[in-house]
Amino acid sequence: MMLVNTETVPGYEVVETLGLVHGATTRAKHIGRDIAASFKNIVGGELRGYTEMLSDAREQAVERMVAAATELGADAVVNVRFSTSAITDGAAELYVYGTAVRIETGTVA
Amino acid sequence: MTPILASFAILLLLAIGPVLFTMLTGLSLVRTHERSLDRREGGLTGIRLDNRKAPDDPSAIMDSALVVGHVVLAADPLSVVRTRLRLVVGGEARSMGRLIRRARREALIRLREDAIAKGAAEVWNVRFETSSISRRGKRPKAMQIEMLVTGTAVVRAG
Repeated sequence: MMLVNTETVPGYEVVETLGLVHGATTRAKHIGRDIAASFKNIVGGELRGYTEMLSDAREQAVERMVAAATELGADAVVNVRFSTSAITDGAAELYVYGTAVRIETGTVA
Repeated sequence: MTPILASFAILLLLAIGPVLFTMLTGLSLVRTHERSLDRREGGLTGIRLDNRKAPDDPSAIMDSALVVGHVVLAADPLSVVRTRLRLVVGGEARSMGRLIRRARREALIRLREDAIAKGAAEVWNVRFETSSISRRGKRPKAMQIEMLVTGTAVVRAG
């Protein structure tokens, strides 16, 4: 499965559009990470716990999107976009969406 | 009189010492990060970034893949104080701008490293997205920012 955030897969030709696919996950940060982050907050700097947590969550959302695309028989998902929305204190929804397509290989111009 | 003054000075130092210490530590961490950004950016000049939607030259493209750079940063305490003061009088919040620039540069470095790992020398359709993950409402929380950069890495033959 090829994932790109361009409208077509560079070097390939889209032969069939299968429609919008998406994946989402809602994550709450746990108290351990909060404590570690609160220490880091004192002096500032990267909150590695949060970076990691959000990356993991985003990966899971991508996996779910890929599963949906695979089910449609897609080769690629184009125009992939990420979106985050805060649900409540300390919880966020990570959403990834794109258009599932079938591409023809070997049509490189 | 002198012992009273001395003990007063010690008390004052005890009170503002830790605050001063965390502020200076935070400031030095910011400087360290900026130096690290300068250094790592120097080694990544080979990657071409473009925020146009598709490669202008479609020849010899072998492969393409989504690449991502992502970071969560917390503001240093001095910046937090300066921003709080800035919120009273309005105007440009420079210290927050500095935080956001650091986050953007860090995320871009990670994006380029991701592209290199995929064997690409160019990234198209580069997009930035920020979100605030700090707690809303209640007492004012430390200022935190999440920076996400996405793009499509393109690998060419030869």
